Parts: sequence; C-alpha cells; structure tokens
Amino acid sequence: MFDKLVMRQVRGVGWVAAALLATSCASSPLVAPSPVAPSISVRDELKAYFERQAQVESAGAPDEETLDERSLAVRRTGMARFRELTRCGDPVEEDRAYGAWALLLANLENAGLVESVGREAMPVFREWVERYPDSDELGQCLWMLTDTAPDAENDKVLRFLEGLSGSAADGVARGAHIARAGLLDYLDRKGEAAPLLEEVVRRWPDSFEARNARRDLRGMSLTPGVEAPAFSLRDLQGREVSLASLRGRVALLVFFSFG
Amino acid sequence: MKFQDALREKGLAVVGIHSAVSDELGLNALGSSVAEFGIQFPVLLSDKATEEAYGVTGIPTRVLVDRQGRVLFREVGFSKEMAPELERRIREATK
Repeated sequence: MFDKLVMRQVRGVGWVAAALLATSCASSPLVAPSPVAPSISVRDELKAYFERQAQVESAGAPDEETLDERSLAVRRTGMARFRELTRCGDPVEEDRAYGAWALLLANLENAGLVESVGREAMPVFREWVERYPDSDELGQCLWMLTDTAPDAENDKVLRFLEGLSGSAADGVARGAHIARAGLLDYLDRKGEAAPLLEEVVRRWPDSFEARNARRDLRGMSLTPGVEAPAFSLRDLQGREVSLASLRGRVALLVFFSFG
Repeated sequence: MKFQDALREKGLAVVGIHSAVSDELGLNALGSSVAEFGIQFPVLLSDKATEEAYGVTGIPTRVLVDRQGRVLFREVGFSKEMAPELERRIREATK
C-alpha cells in the first residue's frame, strides 16, 4: 500500500522528486517534510553557488571534457540544493528557491547538459505553479523553461504555457505570453507569436516585458524584402558610416558586444 | 579564411555594430578587443535608435542586406548549426 502510494506520486511528479520523496517518506510518509533550520537565505546561497561555479570554471582544467564534468557536478549539486530548499518551510524562500533552481537550469549553456537536465524542468515548473500560483518570480522564469526543454517536449511546454496565459496573476500571465511567443518564434511560427506580443504591449504597456515585446515585434517585421532601417553611426576612428553608403554591396550587419 | 576572401572579392561588406560605450575608457577597451581578436571589418558604435529600429533583443543579431538595401535574412543568437545557413544565404546573395 505504502509502496504504491509512493510510486503513484513518483510517476506524477517526475523522477527528480523521487530522491526527495524517498528521504522524506522514510521518516514520515504522509505529511509534508518538516521545515529545516530557520535562517535560510536562498539569495545568499545563490551568491555562494555562483562563486563556486566561477572557481571551478576558471581553475584551468586540463581539457574541456574535464571542465564540463566538474562544472556539471557543481551545477547538479546546486540544483539539488535549491530543489531541497523549495521545501524549507518558509514560503518566501521556497518561492525564491524555485527561481534559483530555474536560473541554474537556464545557466546550463552547454548543449549536452541542457538536453539532459531540461527533461527535469517541466515537472518542477508544474509543482511551482501548483504551490505558488501568484508568484511574480515564476512569471519571470517561464522563458527559462522554453529555453531548456528538449525539442521533443516543445508541444507539451506550449500547452502548459497556454494554460498559464489565462492566469489571474498578471506577472504569471505576462510571463506565459512572452515565453510562448519566444518558443513559437523559435519554431518559426511567427504568425502565432506576434499576436501574443501585441497582447502584452496592449495589456501591460508600461511593463519591462512590453518594452522587449515592442523590439521583438520590430525585429520580426524585418522579413525578406523589407527595406532595412536607415542608420548613420560612427566607427572607432570617428568616421560616419551609414547604411546608404553601403548601397550596391551586399552587407552583413552584425550587432554584437564584447562587454 | 578562403571563404572570407572570396566574399570580399564579391563585394560583401561586413559591418560590426557594437553596443554603445559610455566613455573614453570604454572606447579604448573596445579598440584593444578589436585588435586582439584580429577583427578586420569596420566596427561602428551603436545607438538606441538603431537597436530599436532593428529590434535587437539578443546578441549577436545578424542582418543580411541586399545591394538595394533590403533585408534578405535576419537571425539572432549563435550555434554551430546556424553557420552553414548564413553562409549559404551569403553565397546566394553575392552570386
């Protein structure tokens, strides 16, 4: 009976949760884990985590493969820790812990790592929504889900976000709109992405997301055949270079930054 | 390198548009980076209006423009998979 109960939960929540369930169930199978020590600060732990990560990655590993393995180990440990803190007993810190977990997820630049860890993302985001449906932090983190989920899960992610688009919590609804638009754009479904961005601009005109949405819309409107916007800028020696001065040549404009 | 030489011959103008720098110090640092990375193409200093007009929300953003000043192709971000596509577009445009 007990085994079945655990198995049902494990299937529902995903395998990431298995370890947590196993440890909490060992002492008290049917109640939530009891709060750990008070003075938990997710922000402090996150700061310490990034210091640790910087150390590992600047230590000068003998080869890239080793670096990847070590940095993967640090990241996995970090993710497990923040996952654990989502049950620390303090609602504010728990909400932040989900955010920190998502941030680490988005921080896995290495494609191989994203693919493997990205599969864990969906169940955690579902759990986050269930426990903190009004969280502002959640709204801001939803794009991280679309960035890291494997391609095979894109449809599932889109459905999940669609459900959240109607959320009564403005931050969550806005974040879901932006994340959906980003994923649709990535899937080359710009016709579906644009209306979502337009809705963000209309409903929340003063938000940070609306500012970006306006830019995204402008970028999307630069489709083949459209006249490239005129510009006149100075080079490092102070000479003026305009788009008009490039007429007659095919030009590749590369917006970049060293900073 | 061969590909780049061929492109120059065919008249491709590569123009870097770097995010604005706030002062002399930033300008010097940028000059050093350009030299250090051996960047051969002109580097312009961006402004907000240009970034708005081109809808730059991520870096790098690349826009390929034809001889008449029309957009041919635009892409944001970078991955190994993207490079051949851009190369193909450039070859087509400079034919």
